[in-house]
Amino acid sequence: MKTQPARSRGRRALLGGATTVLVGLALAGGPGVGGCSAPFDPPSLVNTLRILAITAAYATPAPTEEVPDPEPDPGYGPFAKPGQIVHFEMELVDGRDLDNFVPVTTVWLGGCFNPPGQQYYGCYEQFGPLFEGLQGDFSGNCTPDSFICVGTGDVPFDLAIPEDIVSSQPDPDYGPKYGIAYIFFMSCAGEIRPVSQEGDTVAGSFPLGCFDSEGRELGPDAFVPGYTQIYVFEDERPNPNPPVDGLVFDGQLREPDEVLEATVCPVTLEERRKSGCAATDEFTECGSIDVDIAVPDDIADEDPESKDANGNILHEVVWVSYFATGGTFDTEVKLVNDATTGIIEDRAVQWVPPEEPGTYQIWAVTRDNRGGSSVVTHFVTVTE
Amino acid sequence: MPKTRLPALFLSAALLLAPAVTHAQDGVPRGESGAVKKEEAQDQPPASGPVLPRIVKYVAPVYPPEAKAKGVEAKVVVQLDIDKAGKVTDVQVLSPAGHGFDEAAVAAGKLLEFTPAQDATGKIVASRIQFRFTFELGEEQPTDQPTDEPSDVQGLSGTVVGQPSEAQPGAATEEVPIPGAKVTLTPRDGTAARVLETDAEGRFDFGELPVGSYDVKVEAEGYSSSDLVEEITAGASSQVKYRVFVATGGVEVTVRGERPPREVVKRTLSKREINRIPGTNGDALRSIQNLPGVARPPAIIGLLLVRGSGPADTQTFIDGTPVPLIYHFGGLSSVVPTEMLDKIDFYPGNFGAEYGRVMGGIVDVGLRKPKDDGYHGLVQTDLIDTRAMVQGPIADGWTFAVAGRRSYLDAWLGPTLEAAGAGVTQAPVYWDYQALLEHNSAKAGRFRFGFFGSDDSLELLLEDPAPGEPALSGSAGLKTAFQRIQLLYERDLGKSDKIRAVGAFGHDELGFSLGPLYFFLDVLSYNTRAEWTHEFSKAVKLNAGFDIFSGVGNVRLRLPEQNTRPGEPPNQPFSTRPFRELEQSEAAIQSALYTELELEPAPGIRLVPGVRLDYTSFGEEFTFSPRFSGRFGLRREFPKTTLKTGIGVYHQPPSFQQAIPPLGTEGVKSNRAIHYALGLEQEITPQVDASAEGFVKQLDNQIVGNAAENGAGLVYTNSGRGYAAGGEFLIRYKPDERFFGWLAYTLSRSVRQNAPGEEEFLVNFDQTHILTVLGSVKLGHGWEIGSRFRLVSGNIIDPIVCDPQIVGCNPLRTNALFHGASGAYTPIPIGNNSERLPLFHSLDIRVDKKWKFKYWAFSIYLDVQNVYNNQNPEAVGYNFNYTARQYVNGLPILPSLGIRGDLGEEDE
Repeated sequence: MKTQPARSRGRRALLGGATTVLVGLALAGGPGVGGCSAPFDPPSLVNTLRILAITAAYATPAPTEEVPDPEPDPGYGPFAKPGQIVHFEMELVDGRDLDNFVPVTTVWLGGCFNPPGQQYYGCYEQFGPLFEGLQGDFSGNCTPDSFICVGTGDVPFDLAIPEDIVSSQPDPDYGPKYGIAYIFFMSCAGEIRPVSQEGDTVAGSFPLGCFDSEGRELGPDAFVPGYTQIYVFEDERPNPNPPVDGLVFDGQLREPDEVLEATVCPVTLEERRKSGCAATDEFTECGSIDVDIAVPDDIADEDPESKDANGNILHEVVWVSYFATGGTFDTEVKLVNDATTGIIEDRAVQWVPPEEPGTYQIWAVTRDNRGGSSVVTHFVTVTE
Repeated sequence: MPKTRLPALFLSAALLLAPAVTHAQDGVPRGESGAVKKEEAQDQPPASGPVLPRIVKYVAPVYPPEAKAKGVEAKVVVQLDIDKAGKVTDVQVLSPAGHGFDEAAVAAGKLLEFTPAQDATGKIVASRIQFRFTFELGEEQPTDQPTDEPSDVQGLSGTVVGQPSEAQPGAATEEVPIPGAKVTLTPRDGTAARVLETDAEGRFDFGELPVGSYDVKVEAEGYSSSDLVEEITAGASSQVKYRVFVATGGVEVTVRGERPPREVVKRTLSKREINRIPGTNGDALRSIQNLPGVARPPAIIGLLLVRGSGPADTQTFIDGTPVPLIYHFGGLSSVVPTEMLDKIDFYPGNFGAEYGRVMGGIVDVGLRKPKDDGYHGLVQTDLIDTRAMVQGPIADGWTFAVAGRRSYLDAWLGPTLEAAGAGVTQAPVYWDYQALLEHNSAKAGRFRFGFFGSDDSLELLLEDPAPGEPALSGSAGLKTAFQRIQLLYERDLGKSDKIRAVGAFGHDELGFSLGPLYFFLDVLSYNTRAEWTHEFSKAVKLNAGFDIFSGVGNVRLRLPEQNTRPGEPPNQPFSTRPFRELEQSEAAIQSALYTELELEPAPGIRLVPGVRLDYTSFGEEFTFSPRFSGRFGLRREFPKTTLKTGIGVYHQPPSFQQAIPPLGTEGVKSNRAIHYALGLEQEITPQVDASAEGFVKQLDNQIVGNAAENGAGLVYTNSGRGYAAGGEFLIRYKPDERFFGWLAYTLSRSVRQNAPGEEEFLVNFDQTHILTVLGSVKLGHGWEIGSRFRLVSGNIIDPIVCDPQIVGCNPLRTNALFHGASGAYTPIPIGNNSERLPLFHSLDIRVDKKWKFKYWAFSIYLDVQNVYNNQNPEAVGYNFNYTARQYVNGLPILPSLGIRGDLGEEDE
């Protein structure tokens, strides 16, 4: 694949620069904006243990004797019906540059329905016994009704939604009646144990930590905890994930197994992190590749909870986030569908390969504002 | 050519004497011989209070040749002992200046003559007063020098003839004629005024005039104009001699201190202080931020944080009319240029009953009375903005002033941002304007029509969305503006009564837009306040008035819901939440009645009890606010010692957004604060005084917003409480001819609690220690250099990632959870505002150089902020998953170069 001349990367710090203007007329020089100091690594650079997406991929009716292996209900996943089984998938990447492979342990915890205040931290009290017992052997327990699953890597998880998740709720003063299921997950390049941490707010603190084989607690490079949620409405409204056909490089939709090639860009990572002043701009020094996603024009569903001033129902907002194990994007997030104006055609971003040859992976995670997500990925071989 | 400015000597003396003497010098001193007849003073009816000596013979001091050769100027304050005949019996130097000035002042002081002082019963007594001699050098002044001795009053009848005069240098009693002076004679019966110019010998002649009262105005270039009243009686003609005085250039932007303040603490700044405080670019209102009790705002953000109160708790007025802004965008300058200011009253707390609806502090800015002694102009420009002003007389007692300012940040910041990749359609622009038309007469009082306003706007084109906010792209705009049409009227009604009324129509605009989101608030308002003052006796004075605000606000918004609705993950990007669209108008009225008594039960004791009754249509609420302040002169002679105290109740009604559904909550009531203060003022030397005040603000019924259970916005309650307490200390060297400066220190603590039983927390702008030291010294030959050093506790933050340098920080703490439904990270704050940013310290320096010419002056200045480029943290930034942190630093070293030209009388 040929790389093409690129526009200036000065745009990369655009909003940061604008924010600085709003706050301090571009004189304050905060981190990552305006000054010469190196800002943080961009979110798109995957160089630690990362979870890029948790997708409620589909939901199926509970198996019965008559239908022991039911087909997924079309249109469900981020939203579910009472009694359905929701299937979760994790996009897990270990971007650390390690000499020795370290297996990653992944834990799923389910079974928290309609917690106090409908907030995730309302589950802590309920999950307490589970947190305390996480050092046990849970192999083979990854069943929809076990509410706990321990596995290696990106092990999936199935959760059975209770039949009474909505009916057990009081009637709301206004708006639809619904229930929420919270699911916790964590990936650890070691062993997960209970910890006690500082946190005085209502959200408290996360009660688990990650430890290596010698008992040393590991930092965020090797431990990613998180949570997600599933909505269940009384009217059983559906909500499919945004459909994405694949990644488009330089205007061409590529097959997942197609090998892409690019040329290294000698601008180092350290130089790329700098902004302003006399920082080297890899987007003018090197060629770049246009990256986009292939999506249908009707990617966004109607959102019955969102209406304009005239009462017209709006569509979902859809956006795409890009990630890579190397190289740099000029823009990491792009809007795909606007709630009022619809699909946005001009949304491609540019990617400049890294300075080292090798095989790199690029992801595009497409999300909507109702919890839906889809992941597409591709490998790129970078040569001298 | 070096000279001694005699009129300045006279004015200085008047300022140092008691208020009674100051009043005695109002108007133009007149008299055939230039001397006050002693019999006149003796013939006066017994005074209701003591009468201080009044100068009748002035002898100019000899300028020390050595000092003159070196270009040294000085002021010498002396203490004069005056016997019952008005002769000076002893002279003591109180503020020595060296260079031979002290000896010259003593020699001249011994030759002065006064009317004798009288005690409260009218008995002539010996006395002791302070007198200030000013030695100034001028470069282009004429050699002729005016006399500055007062003259007595002659009888006038039939016709008016006379001659303005001024004196020869060094000869106090000699006068010279002023050719070309304008004398305006305005009959009080409403007939047309007549204007004459004096001839080559300074004479004028109006010929025969009808019997009656006339307003006379005398104007001469280079001299202060003078107003007086003549009574023409039938059958008699007299010659009069009007004396005018060289313009002193000593005008001060300060409170005219005819009486002690009603309030416990009232801070004032002289114009020289305002113009020369480093780091403020000569901006008057920015100089307030250097006073005790005022917290340091975040870098170049224009906020007033007074005694632990939030920025919305302090109200700014322009001559009694509230305005929504005090500073332009980014706090770079204030909305009224310094040149248009007459005074700044700043009350950090315990303000009187005339003010209400806020529980923090008050800033009341007075616009300057336009000059009537000729036309004056000013142009000033620096890297930020350019301003211009012109003022002068029109006719028949009418004067005008017009001023305007516009920033030109857009000229250089816009291209800079574009070069950095931002698509800028309009860089920050601000402008303001003031137009005044004023009429003054002894008969009709003071009437002023004012039109002033301010506008700030910014628009950026954001080509790409912010990381994590994919829907935020397109144009980003910001606008704040206000306009006021104001009518002001003041009049003395006899000896005992006075009224002051001001009314204003206003238009306020506040708005911002960001991509598809916007918020616009448009308010049309009418404000009026009036106060009547009646003096029952010297010891009892009554102030009573009303204060009314009425307005209609219109709000249009399209914003994401503050809380997500069912089916929407709560942690998704702000910009992708469903929008709430709203357009709503609401009328509001807030009115108040107040009254205050000013009591002086004994010499040196002043008690001011007052009450204020407020009504607000927000919540249909009446509030009653009793207040009291007192000043007790523990020592009434130099060095004076004054004890002061105050207690008062203050109510602040909810804002539109808090009180009006659907944004606000119906029924929410006013915030309440009780202010307590106790302080001491102490004179140390004639130039140096010190003060210390302790304060406590007890807060309850504070409005707190909590997320609504149904996810729709915030629900406001009056569950909050808290306090702010501290001490303020000020040691100030008052401006003299060479130096001014002060040391201000504030120790404070500001605590809030969202509801009873919940944990207390320090507010974000709590700053335990605030130290400001500044000074400015004239080096001679037009050079002046000043410096300001600030040392302030860092602001409070609620960190998500702890500082590894702080004991107890766990660098392995889980600071955020990945939220699978949105792809964002949910931060887990450590809570309880647990970290204070590092100490702020900064040094600012300002250098001025001024050239004086005959008709104008030119100056250039360099104002450098943060001279040693200290990296002062203003906030903490985090990476995308809250695993790392970094300080966001404030202003780096920031030089500002400016030039200024003054046409006409110097305004410093």
